[in-house]
Amino acid sequence: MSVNEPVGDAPHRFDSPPLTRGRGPGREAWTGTTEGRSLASMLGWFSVALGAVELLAPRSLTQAIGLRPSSGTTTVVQSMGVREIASGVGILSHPESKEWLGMRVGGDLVDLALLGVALLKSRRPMRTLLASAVVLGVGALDMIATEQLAEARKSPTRERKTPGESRVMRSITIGCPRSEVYALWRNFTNFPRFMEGIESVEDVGNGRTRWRARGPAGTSVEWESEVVADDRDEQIAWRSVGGSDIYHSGKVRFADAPRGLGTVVTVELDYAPPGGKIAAALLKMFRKEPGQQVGDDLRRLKQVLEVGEVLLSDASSGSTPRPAQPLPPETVH
Amino acid sequence: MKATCWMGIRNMEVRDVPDPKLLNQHDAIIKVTSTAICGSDLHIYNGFVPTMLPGDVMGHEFMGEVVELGRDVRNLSIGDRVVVAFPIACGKCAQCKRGFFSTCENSNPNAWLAEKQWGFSPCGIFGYSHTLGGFAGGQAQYVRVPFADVGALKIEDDTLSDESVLFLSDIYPTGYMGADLCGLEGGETVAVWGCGPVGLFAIASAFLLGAERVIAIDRFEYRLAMARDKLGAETLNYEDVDVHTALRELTGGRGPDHCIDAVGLEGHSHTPMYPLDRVKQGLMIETDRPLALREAIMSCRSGGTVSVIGVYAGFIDTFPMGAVVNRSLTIKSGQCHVQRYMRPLLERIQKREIDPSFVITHRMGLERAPEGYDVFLKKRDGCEKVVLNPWS
Repeated sequence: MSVNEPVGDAPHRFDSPPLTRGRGPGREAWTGTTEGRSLASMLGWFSVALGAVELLAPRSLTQAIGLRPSSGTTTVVQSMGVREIASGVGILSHPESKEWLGMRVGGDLVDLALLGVALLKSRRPMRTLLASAVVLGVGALDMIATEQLAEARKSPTRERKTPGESRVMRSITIGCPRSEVYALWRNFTNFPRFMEGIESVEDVGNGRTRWRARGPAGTSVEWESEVVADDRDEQIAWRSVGGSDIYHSGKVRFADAPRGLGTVVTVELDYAPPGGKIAAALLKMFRKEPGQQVGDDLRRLKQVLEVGEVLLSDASSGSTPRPAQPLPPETVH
Repeated sequence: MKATCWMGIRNMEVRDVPDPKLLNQHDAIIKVTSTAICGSDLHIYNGFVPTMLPGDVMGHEFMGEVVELGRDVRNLSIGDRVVVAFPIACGKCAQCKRGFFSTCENSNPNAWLAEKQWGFSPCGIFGYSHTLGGFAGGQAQYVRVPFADVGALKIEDDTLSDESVLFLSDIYPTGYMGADLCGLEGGETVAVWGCGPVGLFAIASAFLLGAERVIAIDRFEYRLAMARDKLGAETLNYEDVDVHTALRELTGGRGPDHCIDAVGLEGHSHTPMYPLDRVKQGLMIETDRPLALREAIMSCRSGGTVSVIGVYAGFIDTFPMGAVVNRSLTIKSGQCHVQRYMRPLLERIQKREIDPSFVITHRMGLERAPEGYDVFLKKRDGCEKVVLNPWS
């Protein structure tokens, strides 16, 4: 192409506002919520205050936690003070950043390790233990706040969730027409084919289904769900009905993917995790947090629709991590 | 059956493990007649590939005979002789349809692990970590092949030996893709870092695709001799010469038109950069040592292509991005889309344009696989490529 050729095929237009050929109005920006920021700010101020005490009054602080002040302990406490102030200033100037708060979590671990050493030569071990307990408590707050900030950044809207509830949103593109994806989803009894942990889904009539899922430690969880919206080839919404073990509501939307790639499936789940937010944060560390779970389930749905079944590997076909070698004959179904 | 198992860093064992069974309807079970140790297996051997578990069956270069078929396999019959592509690919997803088989969207059951490492997941690969699916590999007497219609190429010409077609599974197409990514038009000069088997196939392929000169770079004289004597490349031993200067002067002061990195994450150098990169790897400042890649970028002619087919696993440090931007370089890369290249390359073998078996220096029974890894790693005894026979 010569440099003198015009670029693009659209003639210049001065009458309509969009300068580029976007998809027109209605495409919203992802915003994230502001959840967790107030807790983060509080922890930021706490950091600065504690840091100031450590820096300015290291000897008193050392005595307060049951140790005999020496030049060595003073240096350690003062350097911890510098660290506290650094992370505090970072958090206060970026209350939306989980990374600055994450520095506090790392700092808590360092503090605990140092207190563990201190306990060995403490004059008043009860005081040292008490200090450790305080660090543990604040550490838990730090972890929760970090998790909240991380989650807040994954929300497409400013809309706040109901307290105690979590929201998950995941999309996948599947190379099939909308009608096919909708049909498979509309028949909830298909779900055990691609949803890990769902043992059975039973149609009990009146738009209601009865679900049974594997819970922790060999238990099982059951609930009943009803369809609250059903627009053919567009969306399906459901929610658990009263008396269920867990509360959740969900919505799945089906849209044409660009460039003939098939269907974009978007799932939104609101749920109250058993054990609340802390349990959700802990679960996340062991991977099976709902966002991950929904993402994996959608990937299996894609496999069912595109290749007819869920692909197994030698290592993934068992229930626990195992080496990538063929399973013993008796375990293959 | 007997299978080569990774038991820890620099510890391979041939063990008795259960025979594979069909797990999915599009699976085939292959009785392996020939298998090989890949240079990328050495990254696993040395512990640079995360998410390996003791007992993982190794091997992604293999061929054999179909002994069992799932209900949905259409193109194969019991008794067929096949070579199997190392990337596991469904053939149905958007990536496969575009020919990007090694980024298949449906073939990695552990996609979540790969997403944590690389943002999104590529395909699954036989015997190459749990991040890439946890599939048992083919350095064994039998192997299960998912999506057999897509990954197993039938070899109907009985005059072709196993050794001539085995490398269609990985290293020949991988080397070929390295040259293909350069977009050769004819008459170019191409520099290739690394004269292991993949580097040699990149050299051979660059000539096939029209390069006029190929300059091969390595530190082992026997490997440079193969590049020179068997393929007609010019050679540089980076322990004796400054590669950048030599390449500049060999190309009239412009640099090679295209550069191929067939080295990957465990590069060597006799400059202080080498110990420095070792330290950075040890401190986890970087996971990979990009010594060849840096040199390739710095040496490439402005506007040229740097084609990266050596394996990188994670993060690199001191990456000369300034050279890429200011000199309009193009970086192209990928795990080889073997399914895209297998058939045309088989035709080249049938037309006797190339016999890939020229890289083989060592042949042994499967039970000697641990020794094979050791010889290959230490470059002892002129080792270029080890082929294993599971039934000898």
